[in-house]
Amino acid sequence: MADLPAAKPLSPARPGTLQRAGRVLRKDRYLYLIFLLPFLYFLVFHYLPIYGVIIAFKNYKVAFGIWGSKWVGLQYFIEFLTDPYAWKLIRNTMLLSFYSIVFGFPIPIILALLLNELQISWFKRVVQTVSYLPHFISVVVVAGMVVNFLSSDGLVNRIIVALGGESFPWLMQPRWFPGIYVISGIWQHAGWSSIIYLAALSAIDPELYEAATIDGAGRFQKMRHITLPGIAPTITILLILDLGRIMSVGWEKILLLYTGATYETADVLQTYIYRRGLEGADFSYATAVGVFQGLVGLAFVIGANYLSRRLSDTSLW
Amino acid sequence: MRISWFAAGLALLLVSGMAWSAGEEEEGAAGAERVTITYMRSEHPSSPIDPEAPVYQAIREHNNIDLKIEAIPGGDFNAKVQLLLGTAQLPDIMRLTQRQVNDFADAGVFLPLNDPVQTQAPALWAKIAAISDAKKTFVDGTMYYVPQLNSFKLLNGPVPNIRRDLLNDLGLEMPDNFEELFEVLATFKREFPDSQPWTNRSGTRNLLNRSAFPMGIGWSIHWVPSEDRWVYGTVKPEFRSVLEYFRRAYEEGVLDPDFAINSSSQWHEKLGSGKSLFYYDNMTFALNYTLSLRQVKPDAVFWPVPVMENQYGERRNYFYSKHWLTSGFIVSAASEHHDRIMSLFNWMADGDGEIITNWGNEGEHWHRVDGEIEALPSVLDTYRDASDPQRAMRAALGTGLLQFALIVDQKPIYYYDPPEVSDWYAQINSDPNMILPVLPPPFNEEERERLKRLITDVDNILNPALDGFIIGTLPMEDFDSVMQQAIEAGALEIEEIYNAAEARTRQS
Repeated sequence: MADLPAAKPLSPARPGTLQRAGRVLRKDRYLYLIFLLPFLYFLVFHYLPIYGVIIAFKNYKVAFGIWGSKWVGLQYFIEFLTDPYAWKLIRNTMLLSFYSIVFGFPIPIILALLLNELQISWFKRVVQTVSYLPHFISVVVVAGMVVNFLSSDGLVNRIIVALGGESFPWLMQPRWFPGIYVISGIWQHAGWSSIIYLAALSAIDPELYEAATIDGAGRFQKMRHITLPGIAPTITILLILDLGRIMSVGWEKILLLYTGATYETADVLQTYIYRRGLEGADFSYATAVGVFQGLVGLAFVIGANYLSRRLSDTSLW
Repeated sequence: MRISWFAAGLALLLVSGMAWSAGEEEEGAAGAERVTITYMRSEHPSSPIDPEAPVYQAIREHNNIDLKIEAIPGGDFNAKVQLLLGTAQLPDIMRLTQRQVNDFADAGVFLPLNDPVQTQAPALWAKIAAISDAKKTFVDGTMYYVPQLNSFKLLNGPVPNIRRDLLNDLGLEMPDNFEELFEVLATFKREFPDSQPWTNRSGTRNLLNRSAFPMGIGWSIHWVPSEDRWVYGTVKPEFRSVLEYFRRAYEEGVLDPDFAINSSSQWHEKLGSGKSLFYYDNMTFALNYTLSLRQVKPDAVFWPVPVMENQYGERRNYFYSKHWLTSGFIVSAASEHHDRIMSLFNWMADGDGEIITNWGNEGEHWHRVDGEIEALPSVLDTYRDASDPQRAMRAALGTGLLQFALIVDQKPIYYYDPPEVSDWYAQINSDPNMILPVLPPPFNEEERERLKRLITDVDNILNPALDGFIIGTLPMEDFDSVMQQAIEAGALEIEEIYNAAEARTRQS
């Protein structure tokens, strides 16, 4: 009779996955409670409605509902992508986003670096408060201000005329629209966006600065060799997120600012979706354009994340 | 004995039956049970809707209906309505445009109104049937909305209005043709260099929509009486001269440089402050500007320019429609109160209801003078100092066009007018060159679907180009090629669809 292998000694019973999850949940219950609200927000407003994209593949008729409407496959996607106007919309959307990133992305970083260097605390607080305030102004009000400032007898033209120049129709010129869009965006959001960089700056170990000072480093050298590398992961993550939004610009502001004269540079995918989908009641076609826009945005996030992981070891996932 | 028991039972049955029928009569006399009906409409900024206004209280009292009013600011209204329609989430009653009704008529979300209105609201049906054009609002023979009709209205229109006091001051004649108009406005510009003589609101579309037809070729799709057909004017070669006219006006400072971006409030401000001296739009606004200007220049007055001759030797200008046929009230197919709504509509179109929804309550807001209804002087005095007295009065009472009236009596809007306003109306109403607009024909489902696409495609080409031609960013040499692109995108197909539908309507 062959010898049976000796029985292993019994190890103490390990808790099951559910038990472990329950324990973690109990332990961090307040954190999960805080997390619940954003979770529900994203679930209800961002994930559940995704089922609605089905109408991009159907000829949606209110009478038949989403499921009862006829399937049309990729008809609306093909229709959009073969329309010469589509490329103008894509170009405008990407250009406005590109300008916003190129000119708008570095400004909050620079502002945060400058604020970080300020020694007088009351002045720093005043600058911060003043730069945050525009963020809380409604986009409708901002657009109204832009129109008033840039109208033929608005503030900007009055200054130009006072300096001997001629009044200029800023809002009627397609080539000026991107500039107006980007500058008003920077004015409104730069202060608010700098908060996250200020938070990142506060996490840098002060001893690094002390050591650099002892080594004789100047202010710019410290900024270059300590501050910027210290906030580089934050910059990278925010840049990836911005690239993900490259196909979605602040269309409400565009809708409020554009005219027929500036369609050439101002008409973007979202304003087109609004006109065709909502005003023209062409829901399926507009949804197809929206799905296309979302897919391109997703491709940009994945691409940027991949590049970032390869180049800097920082990535979203 | 057995018979007497039977007789007693029969008597009991009879008595209980009488009691039941008496109860029915009791309920009928006291009105049906109280229901809540939702009513949605756009809200005019000068006429906010107060659900507790006397008219809405009267509707409750006379019809036992609580109106739950959802008033949406005008700027947001269309987008919200399209969403509601797209998801079939409708209130019981909603005021929509003809186009919105046409776009969703096949969806089954609107109650077909022919039968219920004929049988349950005969007073309303009689008034609709008396309007020959009303049938044009039907979709494939079905009435889906009750258009707002006028029992009294002085015809008004989008007409040219000019500062007559300045003409007098400068010794200028009232212009008789469009070239003379240009010269007059150019003189204004020379004399008042800071002015922006010809101003406009709501984009280039509005500028061309008002003025291109009188100039000889209408903008977009429009009815041409002399040709007896619909024409897509913008792509016709003649339209070039309209654009050249405005290009010249823009270059020479005659046209407000902000003509494409002015909001309505900026437009009002420019005209009321003396910055702008001419507009081609609703004549009645001239009253507010005149009153505002008189605070600094007592003889200031805007005056309608008589219909001017165009380059083809014609004189023509549209009135606004006699009735509000291009918008009206739909009833949701899903509403649980169809019978009560029909009963309400009948009340609103007949006798007491018609008067109350236009004037308020007798003795409290109006009385009869020689048999005619007149607003009480005390009521008129209450709103005399408001910036827009007639709208303020009607908003407070809940009366008239901008609130909830099926048959609109416009007489109350004229109470606050200074004497010259009656001269304005007399002038345009006696002008043989003022013509009534023609209602677009009803389209079938295939045409409606096709039109949706074509209009978007053509607008995408024309909207930027028209502005470009006027402000000079596009050379006029490009006119033919741009219009060819618009034709290829379907501008002439739009024309064909309109004319085919018009022919079909006439045949039927």
